[in-house]
Amino acid sequence: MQQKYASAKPRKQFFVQMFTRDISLEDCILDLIDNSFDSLIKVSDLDLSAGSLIPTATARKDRHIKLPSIEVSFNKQFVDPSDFSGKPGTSITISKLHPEIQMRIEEGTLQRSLERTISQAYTLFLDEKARVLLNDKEVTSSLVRFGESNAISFGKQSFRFNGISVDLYAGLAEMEKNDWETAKAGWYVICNGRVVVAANKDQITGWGADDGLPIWHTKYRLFLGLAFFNSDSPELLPWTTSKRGLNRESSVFIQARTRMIGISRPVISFLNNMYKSDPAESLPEREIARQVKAVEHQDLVKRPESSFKASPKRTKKTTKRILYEAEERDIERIKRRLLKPKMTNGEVGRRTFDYFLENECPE
Amino acid sequence: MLIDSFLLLSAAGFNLRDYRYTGLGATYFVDFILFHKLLGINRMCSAEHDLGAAKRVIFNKPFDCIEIVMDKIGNVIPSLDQQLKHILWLDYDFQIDGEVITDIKLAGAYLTEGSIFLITVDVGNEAKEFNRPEEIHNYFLDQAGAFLGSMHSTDDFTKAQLPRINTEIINRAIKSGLSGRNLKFIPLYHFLYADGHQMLTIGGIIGGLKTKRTLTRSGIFKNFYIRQDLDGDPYEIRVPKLSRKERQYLDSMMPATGKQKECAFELPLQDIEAYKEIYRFMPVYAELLL
Repeated sequence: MQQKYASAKPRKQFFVQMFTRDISLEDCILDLIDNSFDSLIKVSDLDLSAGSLIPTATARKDRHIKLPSIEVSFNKQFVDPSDFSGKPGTSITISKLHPEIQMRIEEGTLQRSLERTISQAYTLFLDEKARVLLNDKEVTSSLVRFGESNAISFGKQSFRFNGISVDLYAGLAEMEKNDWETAKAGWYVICNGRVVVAANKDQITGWGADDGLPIWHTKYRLFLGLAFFNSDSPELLPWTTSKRGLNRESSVFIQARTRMIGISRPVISFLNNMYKSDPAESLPEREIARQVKAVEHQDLVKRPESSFKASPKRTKKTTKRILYEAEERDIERIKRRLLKPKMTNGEVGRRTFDYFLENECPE
Repeated sequence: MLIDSFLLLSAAGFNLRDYRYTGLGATYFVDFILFHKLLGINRMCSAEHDLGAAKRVIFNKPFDCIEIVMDKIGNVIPSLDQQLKHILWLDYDFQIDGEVITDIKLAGAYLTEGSIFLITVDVGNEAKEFNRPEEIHNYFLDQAGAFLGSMHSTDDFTKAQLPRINTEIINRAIKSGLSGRNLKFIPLYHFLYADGHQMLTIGGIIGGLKTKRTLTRSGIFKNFYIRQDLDGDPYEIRVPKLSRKERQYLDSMMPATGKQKECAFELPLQDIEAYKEIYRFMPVYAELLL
């Protein structure tokens, strides 16, 4: 039989497609923005520890992020060092767009999607340290802050692992517009100042995992968790190459994840107590939760390690529940007698109880 | 047996007096009394989750040095002092569930090097709805799905297999908690005994090669009740039923290392053998009429 061979030559086209199609449009644009933030960190000498982003006096060295080597073509004028005149900065114009990209831009939702992504990813830089303009509109920070009061304080834990410092915080979020927003609740994972996972409520941060926190529920919308990973060697951080996701297999993240679950559990216990089946039993928790005031992010770093604490003032319950069955015919007779046929059965019970109390047991 | 081995560890350089003991003292605090009196441990913490029993628990606290934390043990583990070594005993009187597994994982993540970790669970559930292999399998799939490893077949989930199933789950949960740390769980204890229900206790030390070497030097591995790995059978603690007078008679012949004397009364040989192993560790209870 004549042997035939299949071609095993690598198709260059595959790699071109991988680069151009497997990375979303938002991620491509964010990568460019990230280069700018990287420069900002280098020139401003920002301290990224515990997410405080406070300028420090000590010089930090070698904070560059290793980018994959990509060859691009450009004209000679671009690389001419004598051409650095006028305003600083680089302007990139992309004119030949893929038809799919053209469609995405024309479809109309890109602006909002990009705005939200940039606002989340660089939330710790925006407003104070940097401005990002998107079609001349400034992107504002979507920073979520912890809420605290005399009766509630958030938990904090720190550890170091192979050149990476990890600071974990979990507690209640600040209240906005008299409530807590579900969309903002969950875990935020921040690597060297960039938010790589925002408001996460799934298994990657322990929610609904066999070994972790309960499945997400709206009663947990008060929950806020921040996990800061910082390193002078960015390649050690548990982020993906796009800096927009987590590397679940990273040793430091595996260790941090268990601790994230641990530091969250007292908060979850508190929130479970806050939403019991009998709302009257949850009043002390609800009362102290509504009294929390926002904590500024730069204050987080100063806090010593501690666990989440909440001390609801529990007053002794003085009421008891009475539950009994009565003949429907008799209940209807009472309603007719009271000339209130639409009265509920519970109201009949209350009314007859009050009547007996007033007439048979005067104080 | 725990105290016996703890004394060996102390002699080998594990300074247990400086350890902090965290357990579930309830209202009896038996473990706390033993560890304080016999090992000299002064740093102690008992977690109690039943807020309705707060005053009773505090009333029953036998020593001032015991801190009572009114919270679930799972909420206490993350705040274990990272500057100290610990003895942590998750002494549950119910069977393993998802929350217990998270507690075990947390112990693996938070216990410092050199700490001793013990866990006890009920492996003798007699409930009607926990009888057939399908029911047992479904329970464990629901509560411990990720930790069942290669136990896929429903045939693996018989009542007789409960100690083995629990051991495997606990072992995996500890390893999962330790993942990412350069430390291992070095097993020492794998006990099976009846305390009303059949109970399983697994214990060991969190450490590395250095800890293992110190343990080997201590001679602890030579003890008949120590188990260096969890793959084999547990040490089954069998307590023969004996009267006080019978115990005194048998005690007078202990440790009985030489040729066995004939017993003065009818007692099965296996009861005598069982008694020989555990007589040193058996407490003597007496009823006092006041």
